[in-house]
Amino acid sequence: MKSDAVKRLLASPVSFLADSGPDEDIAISSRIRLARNLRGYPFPCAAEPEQLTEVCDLVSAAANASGSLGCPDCFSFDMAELPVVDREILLERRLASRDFIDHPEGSRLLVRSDESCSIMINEEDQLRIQVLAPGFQLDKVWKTINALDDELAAHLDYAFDDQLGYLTCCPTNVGTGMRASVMLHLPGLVMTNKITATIHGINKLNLAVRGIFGEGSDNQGNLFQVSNQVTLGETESGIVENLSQVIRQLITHEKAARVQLLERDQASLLDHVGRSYGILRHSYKLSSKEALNCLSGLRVGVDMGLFNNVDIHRVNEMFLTIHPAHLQKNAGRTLSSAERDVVRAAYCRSQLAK
Amino acid sequence: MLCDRCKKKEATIHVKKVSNGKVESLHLCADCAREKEEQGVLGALGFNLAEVLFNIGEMAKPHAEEDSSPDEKKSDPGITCPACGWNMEKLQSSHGRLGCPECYRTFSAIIGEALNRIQRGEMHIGKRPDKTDPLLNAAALRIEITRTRKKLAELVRREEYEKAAVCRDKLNALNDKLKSLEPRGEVSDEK
Repeated sequence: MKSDAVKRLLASPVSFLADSGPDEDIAISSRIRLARNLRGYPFPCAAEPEQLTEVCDLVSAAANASGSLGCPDCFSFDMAELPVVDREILLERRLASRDFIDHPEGSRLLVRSDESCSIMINEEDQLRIQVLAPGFQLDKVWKTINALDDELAAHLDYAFDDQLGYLTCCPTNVGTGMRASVMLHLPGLVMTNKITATIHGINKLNLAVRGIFGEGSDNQGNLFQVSNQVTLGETESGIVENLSQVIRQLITHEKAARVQLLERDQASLLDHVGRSYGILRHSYKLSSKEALNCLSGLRVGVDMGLFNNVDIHRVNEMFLTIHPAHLQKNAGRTLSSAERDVVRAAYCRSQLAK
Repeated sequence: MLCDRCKKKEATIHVKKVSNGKVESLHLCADCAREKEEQGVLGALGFNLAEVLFNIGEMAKPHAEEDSSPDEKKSDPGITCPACGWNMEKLQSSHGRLGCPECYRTFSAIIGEALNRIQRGEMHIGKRPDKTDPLLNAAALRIEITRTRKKLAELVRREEYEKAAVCRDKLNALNDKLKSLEPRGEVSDEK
């Protein structure tokens, strides 16, 4: 039954990848998450199993009563009941965090049917509310999540302190409990060797830069996530405004870097795009890392209008489908790492043969 | 100061630890601190995120002489949260996490220090679950006024006059609000 739900999820397009958004050539997606906890309950790391269940039920009831996430017609996954590969699917679709899927006991995931909003129940905090949208539109994402948070707050008693704001399990999130981030594709800054200085500059502004799936996944496919670090002493709209300003500058710098490459080293740029396409179109074994890097090259070509048989949404979909759990789910069986490389190459060939 | 580990990012987390009478210092950026913690490296070195956040390592050592005048509340290993039962030892082993909302009150002294290091202020000025205006609080309002004034100066410097005009109106509205909260007018420095 639960696995059927994952199949249903798999069959539908991921809205943040399938829909178009502003500045989508460089900004892939915008996300905000809010950390919330309930008054009178310990944080999940200190809670008894029955308390975890109680919190799951309270949050589900609040979502159902408020109609948030389209509940009760939303997806609801009790994580401990899902096989590992299904949990990995949820991670790859950016609906759940690594920490969440690795500690499934007593936790539940609510997902709106279009996957644009979700709530992780009993992650580090009792509620991690998330809204994800294509392109660069943090303002819109903030409006959506703010409304969602209000709906839930009408049915839940949040742990809140006048001085410290929303109380979270880790003091790095206290205050607004808000983490806003934008996923950027920055091959131009990487190829012109400006990325290190850029990241250094961003860090000085109290913003964090990470790889595609958070820490430890540096620079795969030239994808970078930029997010706020400070959560206390700033308003939510202030956080969104500061981050947006930096993102706008980064988009401008990336565009300038691409123009610079076109003007000064066109052959290298075209060679990179062409080789990337060639490997994806003709290889028979592809590791995840190589595929991501080639897809990055292909994406640059698509942005430049070099291909008439591939559009940005196909590339985005490939970015998702080449990951291990998606490959295995689509194949309908468990695949070894070596088998995955073969299946991944076959998938990429077929996508580009269309 | 650059991070000791990656040598690239600005170090925002500074740890001092006393062992065998020697002071070890470690300066890390937030990402490296988190990574080290995840790999258990900080633990192996005798550091962990809880120590980084709360400086518990130093506080727990009565012989630590370096820059320490820990007040009694902070160095008392016996503090236990009445709601969840967590103590200093538990905080230390919990990767910087707290046990429950009440822990913020129980361990307020050390959490206050941690917040000073990792956050921009000590006062929440964002939204509230009861939807009341967060700027009805004079302290929060002052913070917002200071920030808006800085922003206005920046916009004027950049000659973005349309945005500056909007910002000026916002600043005036905030000042009016503060005056209404404090009728005796402690807003003399607002110009």
